[in-house]
Amino acid sequence: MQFYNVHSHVFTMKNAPKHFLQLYLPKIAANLVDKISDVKAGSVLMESLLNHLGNGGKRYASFLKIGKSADQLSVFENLMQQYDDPTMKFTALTMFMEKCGADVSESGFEGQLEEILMVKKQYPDNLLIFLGIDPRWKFTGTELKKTVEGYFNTRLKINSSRSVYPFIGLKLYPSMGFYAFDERLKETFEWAAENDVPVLSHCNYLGGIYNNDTGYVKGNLNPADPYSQKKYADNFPGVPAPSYQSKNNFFKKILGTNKNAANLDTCSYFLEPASYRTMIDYFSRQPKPLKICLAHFGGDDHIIAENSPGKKTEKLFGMLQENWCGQIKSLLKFPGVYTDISYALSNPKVHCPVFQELNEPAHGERILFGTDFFLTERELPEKSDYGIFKEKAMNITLSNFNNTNAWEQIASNNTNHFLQSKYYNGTVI
Amino acid sequence: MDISSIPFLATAIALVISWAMFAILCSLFQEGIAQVIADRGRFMKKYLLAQLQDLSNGINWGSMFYLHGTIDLLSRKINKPTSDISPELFAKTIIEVVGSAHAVQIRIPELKDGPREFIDDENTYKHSALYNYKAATQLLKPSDVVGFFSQALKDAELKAAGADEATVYNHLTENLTKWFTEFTERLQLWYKKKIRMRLFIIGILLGVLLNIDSLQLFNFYEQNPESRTTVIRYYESHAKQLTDLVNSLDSNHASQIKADSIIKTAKAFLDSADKLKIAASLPVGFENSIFKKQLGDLPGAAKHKLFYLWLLKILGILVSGFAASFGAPFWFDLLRKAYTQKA
Repeated sequence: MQFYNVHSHVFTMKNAPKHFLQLYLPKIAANLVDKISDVKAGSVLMESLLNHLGNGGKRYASFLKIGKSADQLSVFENLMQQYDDPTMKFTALTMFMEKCGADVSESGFEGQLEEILMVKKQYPDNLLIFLGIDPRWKFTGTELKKTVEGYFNTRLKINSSRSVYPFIGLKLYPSMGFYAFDERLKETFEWAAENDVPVLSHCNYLGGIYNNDTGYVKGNLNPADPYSQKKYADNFPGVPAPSYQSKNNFFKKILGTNKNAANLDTCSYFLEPASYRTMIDYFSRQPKPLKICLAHFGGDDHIIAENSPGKKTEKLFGMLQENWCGQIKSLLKFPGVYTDISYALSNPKVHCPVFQELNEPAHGERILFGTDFFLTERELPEKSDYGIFKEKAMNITLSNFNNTNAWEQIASNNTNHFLQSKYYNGTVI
Repeated sequence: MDISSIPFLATAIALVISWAMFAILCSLFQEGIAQVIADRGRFMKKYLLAQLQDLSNGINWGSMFYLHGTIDLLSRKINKPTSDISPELFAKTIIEVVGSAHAVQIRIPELKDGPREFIDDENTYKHSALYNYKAATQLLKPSDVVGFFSQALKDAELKAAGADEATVYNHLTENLTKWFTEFTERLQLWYKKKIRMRLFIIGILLGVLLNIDSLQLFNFYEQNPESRTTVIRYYESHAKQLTDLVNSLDSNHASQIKADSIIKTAKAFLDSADKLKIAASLPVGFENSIFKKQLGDLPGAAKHKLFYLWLLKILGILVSGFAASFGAPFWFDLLRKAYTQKA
């Protein structure tokens, strides 16, 4: 049986925007951490300082250590070493981060792709790559689709006797400043649907990377939705149009992070599951629906809240005051819609609700296993993240699915089904 | 003319010799640090990444160059990239990196099906390295870096004038080699500028620790003719060894020095300098530093002038730091000129 981790990252800080750390830390601290951790003595000092700050510090140290790795090969090998199954396949999600208001990356996005293809040459059967796409990558939707097709169809030469398709899926990260319904993505999605190419989109409430260019964020909150032929806000009658979520927190003002907090909150509009509905609805009516995974199941807090009767989440950023896990569940009714439990599974409280959802006849086959390595290193090491969940899942049988154990269902059957396409048929082709 | 016979000139020469010796010591420290943190390799990588960043095409060719096995295997650690890249190796690796990029490979079909508007758009090379490289110059979006790759190939094709592909390849590598050679020459100048600040800081730190106070030394030489004569004689008898040492520490050649060789050189130099210090009774060394002696305890120092003494001490050490920042080659060159004038 083939097992998968459908959600991992192997990019390094060289592939991330130059001011990536400024998205999460005050500018001075980010620059200091960046400079100090560049040299061995500095990174040892930083690690030791963070280790003294308790478990949180330790985890942040290991996150930085992996992010500051030499190259994507080292990160991928680090990931593989933490698994006891040498045949495990990992989906690594490449990311277009060049336009998130934190400057461009050292390697460039195409450079990031070149680098991961070098890793693919060494581990063609273990590494499955999703191509990160963003409407701003190319000038037009047609050019974007043509580029994507080129990347998918040009086989990667492994050696004189073997070549493989380099990419098997697409990755979206809307909180970087666009909606999944963006018109420039439509042609690419139509091509993906025709070829069964899976799409995986980040969808975690207030979690992850966001666009820190205030002007850009403000100007792109309410574009036209090509699927509904209306302005985005008009998809939600009676709901106020998206607006910038200004902040005026005294301490954040001193640290200079008010803008970061405001942009993070505002970017929730781009991510909200409800924003996918018109697009998903459109594709559900096509001969071949688009396979799209709304990753993270909304995030651990929302999974727990959704499964705790009476527990209400506080005021939410976005168009709807509805739990994001609940919103995703309502979208799972459409054909081709999936979710994964990456990052959320680092919180053991979500394991039980996830097993319950896995046994739901309506959508039990649409939940996938992924960890969100190495971003989860802030929470706990990959080995524990995967090991703890696997051990529990192996002991859960799903009565509605022929008593299959939950591990086989989530990490093999469901994921295998999601990944199948012209470019991947269960084995690397 | 004997330099020692003119007191003011002798004092000045003795002081310059002291600065030259101090600059050697600082250079040895700087070289030790540079070796430990692979400073030259990092410096070269930083500038190669900056020069070969191709924003139009979203690829940093410098980054791809360093990830190529040929270069990667030369570095002892990821954060310690090699600076020992031969121009020929650069040329051959960059041809391979550019041509084999997936961003180029995905667009190769366009070459076969696309319009033919210019003669130089014909890509008839049989060898994959040349074909792919030319394809890259034809298919990538225009940028400074692509312009440079393209120019190198066009020039090679002109020089080859219809000769076989091997000749074009040789001219292409020659052109890229020439660029890299010129680039590394500029890099050495930029690196020299960079280490001046570091030498100044090392100079201040060592000045405080070893009491290298230029103003105190000036007074000392003025008041102790025997000492300044001893220093001048020491230089005259060791001029060749010291000049050789300075040449080996010059940043153009220092990258070839091994770490253990630095330690041996430093030890030999310190032994020699220590003998000179004892022979000339110089007021330098840790035992004469502010950590061991109160400024007010110095002969002739009045307690009420303590503030003034501290000010002079700081000034003296700052002057030593400046002297160190000029680098040993500058002071030895000055001494050589002074002695040439004398002759």
